[in-house]
Amino acid sequence: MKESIPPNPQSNLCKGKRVVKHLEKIKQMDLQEEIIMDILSRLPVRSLLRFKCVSKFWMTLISQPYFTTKHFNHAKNNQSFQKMLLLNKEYSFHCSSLSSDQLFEDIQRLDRPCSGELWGWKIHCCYDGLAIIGVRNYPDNDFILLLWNLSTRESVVLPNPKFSQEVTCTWGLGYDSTSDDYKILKINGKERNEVLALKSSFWRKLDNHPTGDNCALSDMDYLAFRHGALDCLDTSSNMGCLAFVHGAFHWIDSLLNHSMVMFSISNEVYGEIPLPEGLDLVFDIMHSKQGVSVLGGMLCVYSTRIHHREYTFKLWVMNEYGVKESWNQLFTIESTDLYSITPKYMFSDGEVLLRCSQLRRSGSVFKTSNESSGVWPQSDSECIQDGFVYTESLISPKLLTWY
Amino acid sequence: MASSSKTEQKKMLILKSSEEEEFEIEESIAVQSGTIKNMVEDDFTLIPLPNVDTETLIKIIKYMKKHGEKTKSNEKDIEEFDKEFVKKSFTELKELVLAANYLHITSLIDLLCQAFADRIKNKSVKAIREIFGIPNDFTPEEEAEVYEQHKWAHEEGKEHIDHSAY
Repeated sequence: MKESIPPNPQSNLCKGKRVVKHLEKIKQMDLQEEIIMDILSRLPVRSLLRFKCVSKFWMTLISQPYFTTKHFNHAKNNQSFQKMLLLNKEYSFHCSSLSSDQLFEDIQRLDRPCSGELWGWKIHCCYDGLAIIGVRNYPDNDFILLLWNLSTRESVVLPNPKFSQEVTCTWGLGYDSTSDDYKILKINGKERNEVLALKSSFWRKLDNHPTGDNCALSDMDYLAFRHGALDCLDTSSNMGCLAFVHGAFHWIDSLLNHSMVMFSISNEVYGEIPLPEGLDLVFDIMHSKQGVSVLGGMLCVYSTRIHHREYTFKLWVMNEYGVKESWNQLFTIESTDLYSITPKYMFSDGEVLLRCSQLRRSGSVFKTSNESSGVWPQSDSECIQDGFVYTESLISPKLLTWY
Repeated sequence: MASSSKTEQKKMLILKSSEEEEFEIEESIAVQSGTIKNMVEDDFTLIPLPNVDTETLIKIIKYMKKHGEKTKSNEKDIEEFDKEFVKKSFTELKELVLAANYLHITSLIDLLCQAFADRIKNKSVKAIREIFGIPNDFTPEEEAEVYEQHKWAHEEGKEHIDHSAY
C-alpha cells in the first residue's frame, strides 16, 4: 500500500509555493476552452448568434466549422433542437418548437429570404437544418432556387436546374460523406432526372432508373385534382419530397410493384428496397396514395386507401434497413374525411406527428398519432399548407457553395 | 480458522483537498472519477487534489456518493438530486465544473455544462461577459458590425433577454 506520492515527487516539493499561487490564478481564470465549447454546443442557434458579440475569442469559436459540427451532432439527437417550419396560404413562413404535450410552442413569424418582387414560395425539401426553396420572380416569372438555413436565416441562390421546375417534380436534399458535400436530387421522370452537388456549380442530368417510370408519386393530390377527385387544390400543396436516409434517396415508382426505388448519393447508382408485405401499390387517383418518408432515422412507408367512403391510413417503419421482414406496421387511422395524411416526425416516445388534409377544407391540420389534439391554431385566413421538421444548425449555405 | 466475513471490508481511499483537508471515501465510489481511477491503478490510496478546494471537494464527494448508489429503481430520485445540485451560484458552478473536468467525472461535467447552458441562453451579451469574466475586446465599430450581421437575433423577442449576471 503505497503512500500517496504523486508523480514527480521532487518537482512537487519544489513547487510547494508555486502550487498555492497557481491555485489563486485558477480562481480568477476563465473556464478552459473545452468547457466553454461544451457549454456553447448546448445552446440554441439564436443565443449563439448573439454571443458572437461577447468577445473576439467567442466569435471565432462560434464561427469555426469544427464547432458547427460539434453543435449539430448534439442537436440532431436532441428533441429540444427540433423545430417546425410552416408555410401558410399567403406564402408566409412561421417556425415553432415542437413539444409533445402541446405540439407547437413559441410560434414565430419568419422573414423570407431575399424578399423583393418574389412570389409562389415553395419549400421543396429540408435536411440538416437547410431548406431548398423555390420561388418566382415578378414580372419575368423566372424561377429562383434558394438554399436557406432556417436557424441562422442565411441564404444563397443556387444555379437553376436544366429542366424547368414544374409542379410535378420531386426534390431531395442529402449529405454525401464520401465527397463531404450536400447533393440535391430532382426527379421528374421522362429523362429529366438531375442532381446538383453543392460544391460544383452545375446540375448534371442523370440516367433514368432502368425499369421504373421515374415519377416520384409521393403525393397525388395534384393528379387527383386534375381528375376532379378534389374540390380544391392548395396551390402550394406538398408534392412530397424524396426520403433521404442511410446515404440514399428513396421514392415510390408506379412501375415497381413490390419495391421502392433507392438512389445512392455517393456512387449515384439506382437500387431497390422491398416494400412491406401487405402493401399493394394502388395508382388509381381517387384518393388512394402512398409515399415514403423518414421517421426517427428509419425508412417508413405509408398509404391511404378509400373504401365505402372511409379512408384508411397505414404506416410501416423499417426497423432494419433493407430487410423486408423488419417492416413493422405502426398503426392505422380510419376516418371519413382525412383524405391525405403525411407523417412528419417521430417524437422520442414513439408518437408520430401527422399532417392531415380534410375534405372540403383547404389547408392542413396537424395531429399526433395518439389522437390528442394540439392542432395548429387556425383561423380561416391563415391556413397552413404544409410543414417540415428541421434540426437547428449553424451550417452555412455560403460556406457550402463557393460561387 | 478460515472464516470469510459476510461483509467484505470495502477498500477506502483518502482524498486531500488543496487546503490539506482529508476525506475518506469508498474506492468503488471514487473511481467514478477517471483521474482518481488512474491513480488507484497505480496503487495510490492517499490522493492529493491540489486543484480542488475543500468546499468544492465536499460537493463532489456528495455527488459521487449519490451516483454511486444508482440502481434501476432510484432514477427519479437521482434526477431530483441532480436538479437540486445545480441550484448554485455561477461562481460555485465554475469551481465545480473546473474540478469535475480535472477529475474526469463525465456525468458531472455533462450535468454542469447543461446547467450553464440552460441558465445562460437568454442572457444579454453584457451579462455573459460578467458571468464568465470576459473582457470586451471589440472596438465599438467592430462590435456594431458583428451585431448587424445577426441583428434579428438580438432584436426579435428582446423583451425575453435577461440582463442579470446571476
